[in-house]
Amino acid sequence: MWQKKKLLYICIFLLLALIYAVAGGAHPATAKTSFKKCLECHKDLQKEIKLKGAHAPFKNFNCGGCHNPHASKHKSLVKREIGSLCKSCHKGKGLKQKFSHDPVEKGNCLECHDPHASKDRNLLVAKGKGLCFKCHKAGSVFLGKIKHEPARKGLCLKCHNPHGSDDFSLLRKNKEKICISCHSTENAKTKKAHKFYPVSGTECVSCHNPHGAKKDDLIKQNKHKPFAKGNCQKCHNSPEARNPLGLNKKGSLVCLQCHKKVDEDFNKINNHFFDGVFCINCHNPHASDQSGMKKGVLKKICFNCHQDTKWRMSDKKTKFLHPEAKKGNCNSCHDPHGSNFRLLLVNNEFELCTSCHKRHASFSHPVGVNTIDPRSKRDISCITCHALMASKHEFALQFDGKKELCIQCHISY
Amino acid sequence: MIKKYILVFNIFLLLIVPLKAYGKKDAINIITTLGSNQDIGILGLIGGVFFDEIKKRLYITDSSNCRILSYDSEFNYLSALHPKGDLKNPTSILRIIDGRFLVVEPAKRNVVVIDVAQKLINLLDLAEVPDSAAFNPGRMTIDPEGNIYIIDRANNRILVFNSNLKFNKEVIKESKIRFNDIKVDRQGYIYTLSTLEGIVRKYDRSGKKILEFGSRGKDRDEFSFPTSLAVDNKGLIYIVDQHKNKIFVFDKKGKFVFNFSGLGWIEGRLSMPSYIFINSSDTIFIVDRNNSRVSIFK
Repeated sequence: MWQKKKLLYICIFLLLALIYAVAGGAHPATAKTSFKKCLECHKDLQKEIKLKGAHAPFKNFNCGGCHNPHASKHKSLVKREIGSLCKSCHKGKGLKQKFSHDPVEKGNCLECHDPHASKDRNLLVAKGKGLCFKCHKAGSVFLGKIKHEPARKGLCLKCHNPHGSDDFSLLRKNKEKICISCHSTENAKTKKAHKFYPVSGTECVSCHNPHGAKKDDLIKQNKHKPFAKGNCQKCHNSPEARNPLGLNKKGSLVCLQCHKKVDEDFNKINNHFFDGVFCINCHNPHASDQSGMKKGVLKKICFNCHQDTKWRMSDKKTKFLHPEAKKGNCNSCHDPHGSNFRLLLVNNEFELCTSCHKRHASFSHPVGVNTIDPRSKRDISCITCHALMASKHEFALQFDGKKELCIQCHISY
Repeated sequence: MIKKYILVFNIFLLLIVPLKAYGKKDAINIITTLGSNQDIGILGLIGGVFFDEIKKRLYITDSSNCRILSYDSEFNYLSALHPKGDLKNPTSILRIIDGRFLVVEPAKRNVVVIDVAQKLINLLDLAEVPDSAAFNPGRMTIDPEGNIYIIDRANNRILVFNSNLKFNKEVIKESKIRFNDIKVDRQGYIYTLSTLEGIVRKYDRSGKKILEFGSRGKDRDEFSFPTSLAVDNKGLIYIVDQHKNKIFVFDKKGKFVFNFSGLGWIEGRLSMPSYIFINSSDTIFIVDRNNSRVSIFK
C-alpha cells in the first residue's frame, strides 16, 4: 500500500515538473511577442524606439519591466510609483549623498527624464538650460544683467550634480575648489580686489553670485556693513597677521559684539545657540542676495537641519498646510534665534495667530487661559485643533472637522 | 496525526506571540500627569524635571513663570520656590548631595546655585574652567557619586564638577558633535544625544567612546527629532522623539526593542515631548511640552 502511494507521489511530481518545464520555458518567448504588440496600438512609440538613446528595457521590448499590461493602481499602468520603479534599477542615484535634488527625493524622475527615448543624452526631456530653467526660472537665477558665462550658456551641469551632492547647492566639487578650477586667485588684480587677504581655498560663492549679478564682480546685492566699507578688520585679523582670515573674537562673539539684540534672543528658553561662529549656519557674513543676509532661501536653510519637518510637509498624505509654511516663510511664526514660547514661536499661540486671523480674536471657539482642554487639562489654543505644519484635513485641522475633531472633547455628541 | 501537531502548534503561536508583544507594551503604563491646577495655577513652559533620591522629592522647573515646583514621592504638590529677580527662566535642574539646587539659567548663560537653607543664590564658579568666557550651559546630570556633568553648548564639551561644585575636568570634547542631552547610568557610563545627527553615544568614565547608534529617518526604529535620553536600572536606553511623539527604547547594545506612547492629548499620550528623566525605581518622568504637563510612567 505504502509503495503504491509513493509511486503515485513520484508520478504527480514528475508530471508537475513536466508541465512547469513546458509552460515556463515557453513563457519568455510568448512574453516578448506579446510586448511587441504594444507598439501596434502605441504608435507614438514606434519612432521613439528607433532613437539611438532609447531606454534599454524599452528598446528590448521589455515593456513588462515597468508596466503591467492589464491593470495597475498607478498612472500609465506602471508597476510601482515612478521613483521606486526607477530606483529598482538605478540604485542610489542622488540618494547616497547628503543633499538630493528635490525631484530625486520625491521620486519625480520624469520631471527631467523621458522613460522611453529622447534625442538628448541621458534620456533628458530637454537640453541644458531648457531643462533646468523649467523650474529654476531665469528671473530667480540671474539677479542682474551680468551673467556668468557657464550659467548664461545653460551649462548648469558644469558646476552642479543634478541628482545629489554632499554640498548644500548640489555642487560637483566643494565650494573651496569649484571656482578655482577655472579662475585663478593669484593674479595682482584679484589680490588687490581682496585687499591682499589670501582668499585661495575660501568659499568664493559666499560673496559672489555664481550665476549673475548687477555688477561685473558678481558680488551679491546685500552687503554686510563692514564688508561694504572694506573694513575687513572689524571681524578679521589684519592681512599681514599670521592667520589673516582668523577672527578677532572667539566664536559667535565676533557677530554678537555688534548684534546685541540678537545676543539677547539667544538668552531665551528655546534658542538656536550652538558652538563656534554658528551665525554663519544661516547667514552669510559678507554678502547675500537674500534679506537679512541669509545664506539661501529661508526654507532651505531651515530644512537643512529640520529634515523631518520637510518629510512631513512633503508627505503624500499631507494635503493641508498653513499658507506661510507652504511659502517657506518659517519666520512668520517662528523666531529663528530664540523664544520664550513653545516651538520657538514669536508670541504665545493665541496672540500670534490672531495677529493675522483678526476675526478669530473675537469670534471663535473659546480659547485662551480661561478655557480648559478636557483631554490634556491645559488651556485651549489654536493648535489644539489645528496642525499647521502638516494635516490631512481641510483648514489644517488635527482631525476631520465634520465630526471627528469636535467629538474629541464634546463626547456626548 | 500531523494535522493535530500543526493545529496545536498554531494555537500555541496564537497564544504566545500576541502575549509577548502585549507584555512589552504593557510593561510601561501611565501613573499620573502633573499639570496646571488650582494649587499651582497655569504651568508654563517646563524646562526640566529632577527626582531627588535622598529627599524623595520631584522638582519641576516652570521656565515661563520663573519658579521651581516641588512634589512629594506620591506626586502631591508641596510648594513653589520662587526667588523673584534671581531666577529668570530656569531650565535644567538637579539637586546635589548637600541639598543645594543647580539650575541652568539661559538668560545668564550660567548655572545658578540655590542654597535654600542659607537663602543664598550664586552663580556656579567657572574660574578654573578653560574657555569659560564663551560658556553656555545646556542640560545637566548627576552620577551616583554626586559628580555633576554639564553640557557646554558653546564649546561642544562636557564639563565635570565634583559634589562640592569644584571644577574637575573636561570629560568629552568633540568639535563636530552638538550635545543636546546627557545622562550617567549607575555604573558611571556617560550617554549623550545629538538631536540633528540622531545619534546616541556611550562613553566610559574617562570619556572614551564605547558605543554609538541611531539615525534620523522615516523607518520605525529611526528618529525624527530626538531631544532627550535616559537610562533605566536594566540598562535600557529611552529616547524621546519630539516629532514622532514617542519614546523609543533600545537595549544596552543599541538595538531597538520597542516604543511606547504616541501623539495625543489624553493621559498616556504625548504632544511634542521634550525631556525624560528616570529615577532609581525606574519611574519615567516625561515633559509633555505641548500638553503643558509632566507625564509619569512606570
